[in-house]
Amino acid sequence: MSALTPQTHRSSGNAPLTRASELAADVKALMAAGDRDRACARFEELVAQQQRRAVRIAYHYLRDAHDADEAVQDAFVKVFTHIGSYREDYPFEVWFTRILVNGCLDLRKARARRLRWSVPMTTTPDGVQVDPPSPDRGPEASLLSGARGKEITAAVARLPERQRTVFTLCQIGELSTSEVSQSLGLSEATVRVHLFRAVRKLRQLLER
Amino acid sequence: MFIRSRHLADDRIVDACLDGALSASEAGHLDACPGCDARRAEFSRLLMDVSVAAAEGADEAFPEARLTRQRSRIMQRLVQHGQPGRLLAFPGSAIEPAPLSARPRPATRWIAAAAAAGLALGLLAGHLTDRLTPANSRRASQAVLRSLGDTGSAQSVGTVRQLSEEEFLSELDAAVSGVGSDALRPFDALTPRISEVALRE
Repeated sequence: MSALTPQTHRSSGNAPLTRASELAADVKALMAAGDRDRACARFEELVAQQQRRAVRIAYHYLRDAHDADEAVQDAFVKVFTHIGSYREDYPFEVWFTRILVNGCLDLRKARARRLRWSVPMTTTPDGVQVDPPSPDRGPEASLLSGARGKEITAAVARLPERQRTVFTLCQIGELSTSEVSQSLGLSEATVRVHLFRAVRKLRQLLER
Repeated sequence: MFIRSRHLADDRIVDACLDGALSASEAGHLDACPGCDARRAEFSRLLMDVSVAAAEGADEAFPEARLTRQRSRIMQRLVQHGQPGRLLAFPGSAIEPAPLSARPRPATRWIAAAAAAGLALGLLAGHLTDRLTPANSRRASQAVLRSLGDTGSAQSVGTVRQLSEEEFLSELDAAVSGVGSDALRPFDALTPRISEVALRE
């Protein structure tokens, strides 16, 4: 039913859902009806619509193109295989971002385990642990052309984990503080605090 | 937090930059105060710079062609999802192997017969070697005695045993260099030279 009338989707707050949420609801309905081919076609539209944002989040989070590629692929495959558990009144972006971020965290843990014995972890004077560099090449160094870009990316990388996550989702993932709070299971006030601390720390780092 | 007299705190200014969530009085102050306005501009620039830098990095690493490839890979994985795994042929064999039960197996029988014959031959050879070995040893001892004949034909093996090891080896050396040395060559090969032993010590 919902596959035929996507315009009728509404969030719990009666605000119209985004196009991504409509597409996700369609995919769910088509899968429930056993029409896998049409569900796949719809899902491809959804992937095309969300892909760029997903890649930006994953890349900024992992700072490695191969890992980001893998994380995004895995997240979309997971979304499709678990589409039955998607709630139509919930913004798709929030649900998807949560899946993507969890995948990125898992990949980062796996990468840290791989590199534990080969690359020493470095720690900043204030105790903030810096992620190990990418095994293939440093994305900051090779992908950003301007010196300012390098500075900024290095500064973001030095943020504590939680602040970086919140900051990445807000600024790169283009989610609102409310959506970030839903994605991470934090209160909106906590998200704002993390965000403010991240901005303040970034300013300190960039002023040096 | 960080209130500077009547000016807006940093967290309020950051909030203003993010989603403009300010009260009417705060918004009024921000419009009227050049200092707060400058701070807002600074934070806005910082946030904009971060967004631009992050987008540039990701977009450069993932051009449109790579996104297309990624999309098709995702769809391919979805198609494969839930399907049973394929049985791959061993690399290099172009022909798919027939099931084991349907295959004729004459070669297997020949291999078994050859293995049994080899085992029987091995046992036979072992028996023969066992019988022949004492005779060989006797012949070798006789050859040694013959070669020592110039020191006295009546010397027995017992006499040889009474010789010191060093004397015995010296005599062996002399015998090897003399007549009938062919029979002693195996002994020669097995026996270390005095010089070698001395060197080791």
